[in-house]
Amino acid sequence: MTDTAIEAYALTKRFGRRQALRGCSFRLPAGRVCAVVGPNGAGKSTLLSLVAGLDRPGGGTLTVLGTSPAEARARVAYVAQDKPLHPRLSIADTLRLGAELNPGRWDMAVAERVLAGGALDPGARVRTLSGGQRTRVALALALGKRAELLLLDEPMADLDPLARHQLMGTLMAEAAEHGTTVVMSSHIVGELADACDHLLLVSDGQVRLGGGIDDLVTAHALVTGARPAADLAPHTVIESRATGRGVTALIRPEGPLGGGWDVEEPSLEELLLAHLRSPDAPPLITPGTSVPARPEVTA
Amino acid sequence: MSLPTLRGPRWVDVRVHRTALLTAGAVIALAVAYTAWLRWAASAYPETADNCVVGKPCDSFLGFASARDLLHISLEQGTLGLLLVPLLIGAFVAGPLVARELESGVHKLSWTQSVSPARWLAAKLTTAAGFAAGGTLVLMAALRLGESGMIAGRWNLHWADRGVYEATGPVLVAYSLLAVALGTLIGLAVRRTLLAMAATGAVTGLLLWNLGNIRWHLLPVDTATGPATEENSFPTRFPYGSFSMDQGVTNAAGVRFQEYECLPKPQTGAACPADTTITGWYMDYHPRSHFWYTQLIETGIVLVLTAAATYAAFRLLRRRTA
Amino acid sequence: MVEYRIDRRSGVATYLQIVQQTRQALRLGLLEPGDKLPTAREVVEATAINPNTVLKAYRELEREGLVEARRGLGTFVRKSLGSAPADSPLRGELAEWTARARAAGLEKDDVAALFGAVLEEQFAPVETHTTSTQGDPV
Repeated sequence: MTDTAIEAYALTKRFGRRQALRGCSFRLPAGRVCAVVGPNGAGKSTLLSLVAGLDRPGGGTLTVLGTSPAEARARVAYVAQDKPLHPRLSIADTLRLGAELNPGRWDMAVAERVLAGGALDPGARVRTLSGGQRTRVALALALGKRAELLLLDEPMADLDPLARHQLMGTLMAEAAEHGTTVVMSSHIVGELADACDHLLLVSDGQVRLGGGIDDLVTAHALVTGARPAADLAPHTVIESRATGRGVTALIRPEGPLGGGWDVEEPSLEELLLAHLRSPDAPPLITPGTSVPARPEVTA
Repeated sequence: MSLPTLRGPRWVDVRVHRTALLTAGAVIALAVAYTAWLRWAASAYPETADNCVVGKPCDSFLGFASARDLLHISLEQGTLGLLLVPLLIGAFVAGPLVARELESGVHKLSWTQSVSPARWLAAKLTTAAGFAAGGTLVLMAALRLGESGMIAGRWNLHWADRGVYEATGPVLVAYSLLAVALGTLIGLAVRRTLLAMAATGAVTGLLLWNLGNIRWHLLPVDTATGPATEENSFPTRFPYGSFSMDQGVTNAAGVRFQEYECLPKPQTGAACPADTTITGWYMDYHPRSHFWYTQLIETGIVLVLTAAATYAAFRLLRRRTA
Repeated sequence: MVEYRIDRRSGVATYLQIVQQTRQALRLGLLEPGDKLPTAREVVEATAINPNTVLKAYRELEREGLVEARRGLGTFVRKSLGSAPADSPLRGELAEWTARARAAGLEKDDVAALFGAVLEEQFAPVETHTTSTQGDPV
């Protein structure tokens, strides 16, 4: 097992005329619980499906668990956004499918534990299930695989608050016990903020922010002061707004701020929204999660 | 239904399509039972001497002239029906087996288990091929059971007829396998259930039709000749049951022409020699012994196409997934 | 065994909530030396928070000398905090005082504000656990 779960360098993917990914580079250390956030259509799903080996990158390199996505297939579990399952199979048959397609890895007890919270009839056919119940079955299938890397595309969208809390708890327990790396995408930050310790902000096919959530938050400051905005020039200003005679700004301090500023730590939500509102702000990938530039390699 | 021997992706394929397989199995069983019953009825209720003579009713068996007559009609329809088998197999493989999985997104589930997409495809191909070949063989056996020597004897069950020819040799099994490969390829390429079904049915049908047109040109014909006159130009002395490809008359120089086109006067556009005095007849034909040669040649061609389609399907999948 | 309640809207960093609730349990005598804290797995399964957050909180408690991690066994309480178990005389006095405040016509919020102000006064320079991460002191 390597200490890097995913390493992407200059990853691109195009669907017809639409450029879904335009040069994604980042590194996700193993054992993290990573939120992939960004607006709809930002490239989150494309990124996850490339890591899952469902699609080939147009360019760039992608290493998953120290090898190619295809080689890593058995060690990666993936739940697509629409929670695809065979509609005519029963729940019990769906779990059997997990066992048949993952020989030597499958853990029926784990899968059944995930289902147990949902009071589901094992004989019920998948097509009769509600969206939330489907999600539960899909997660049971993914967790039963006992993967080292769990890729979940919008996993919580269909769940009621109780099931969301319960399943997130189950996920976290798996991560705690087995050191599983978890990558979850969402366009709602709130639902992932407590569960994740790592963040990738994807927008317009690129990684805008990448790194540990604590590191990213402490790299920024929310400053307010009755001073001209020009005084912030030495720092990287993500977003600034005039308030009365002064200015309120989200910045990346590049040195001491000097007096006269009221400095606060931004919340994660403020940080993300400011970056989404300012598409021209330079991206920030924290040290240890960036990938050094290298000679052009094509996949 | 317990399936103790199936594992992995094959188990999944069979489990998901259990209803379709059971239905197909029931239809096949019904066809066998119907044929067996008719054979039994044909011997239990033989035609009487006064059957269908003037003044007597001609519906001694369920409204048909006799059990043997019904058997014969059924065989005639059955041989044509067997030609549809590869089309149905192809449509099923292309649509429900392959394209629907891609269309509904379930492939995202299948391709992210521990089984590679190539093995997923291989499982579909081999499972479908197994069932297709098995089902076709059973249906062909049912036809054999009912035929009981009639193919040589009845004028509209000639061994070289479309339907009869395919249904009595290995080509039909080969066409079924081709349909599986084509269905997989087209299903992967089209990714729309109904469109893939229609396209595969059409392509399989076209191949079946066109190869049927050229199959008799794949092997040199035998030729029979004999003296003839204008009054009596009909070929004689050729093997019983042969399949005639061309027949006509010759003049003293040995030039072939068609009597009805050139006598008494050459019709416009007809190729007639200057001398239209008939001195002999000729006939190009395939004797019944050619059956196995053409069957094997055609089977070979169809299997090569099957291999090509299979290869193309794997290439297509390889290009698309990691 | 303690159960942690995570309040998403409190503005207090999640790991600090765990630290504070553990301290609270120690003060109230709900946890005593030798008691085992829930494992990270148990905490995250119940609260759906990140495992590293729990580990961070436990590290903080360990740094303060309140708990110790025993390899392969879990995290155990080393010493108790304060001297105000749930049924101590101090608690009784506070209950008495609160009853008097209420009799004097104070609302719940007034009592809390008064208590908080006195608390700030008495403990102002002592508590310094508000480290670099987000969240305000309570």
